[in-house]
Amino acid sequence: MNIWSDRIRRILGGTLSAGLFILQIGILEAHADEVLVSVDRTTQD
Amino acid sequence: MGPPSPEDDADQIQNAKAVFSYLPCFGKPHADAGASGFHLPRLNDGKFASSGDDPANSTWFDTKGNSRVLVDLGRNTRISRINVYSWHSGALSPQRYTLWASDAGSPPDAEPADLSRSWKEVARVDTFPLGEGGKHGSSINSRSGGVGNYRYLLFDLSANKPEWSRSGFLSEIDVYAVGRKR
Repeated sequence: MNIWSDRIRRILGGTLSAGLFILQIGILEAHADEVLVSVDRTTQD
Repeated sequence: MGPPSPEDDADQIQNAKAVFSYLPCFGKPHADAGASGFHLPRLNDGKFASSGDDPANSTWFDTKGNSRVLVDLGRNTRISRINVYSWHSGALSPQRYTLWASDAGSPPDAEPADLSRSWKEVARVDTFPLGEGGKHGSSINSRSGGVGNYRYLLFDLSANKPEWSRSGFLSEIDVYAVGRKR
């Protein structure tokens, strides 16, 4: 019983880690694509 | 956003391969706008207009509709920011354009009404809310430091005053690669 519990815990832990990793990559990609536009008429000199 | 630079990655001195040109099937440059063939050398000569009425250092189009300016940087460039400068005493100072980009090996077709098939839309810019007259500048940049890795940029500009058949009075367009300060 302990062996199975340990295996399930490892599988769930691995899945959670992979999910967090993929989520982190997704967030980084989203930031990489985030383009900003600013307009100005005073600081060109 | 800082002043126009003669040392950006699209400037003629810094990058001899950088070429700005217009698409003849859209608005054509005014006879005094400095075009050389299809090229628009004033847009990357590092010089800014000296007043609100300085046609010798400005590029503008005679059109009631849109004008398109194609920029070839000569190589794929990881761009950190793009600055566009204009100056006019009145209605031709504001900027309204959509910027498209491509990392293809040759320039995608820049004539279709729908550019989304072969170009990536980078940004839509409108400085009209700043009001008419004076200096206008727009800066396209990224929170992450990189706008994208592109060789070709395409500015799709709308006319400022269709009733005058006039676009805005563009003075300079600066493109900075990641790592270049100014």
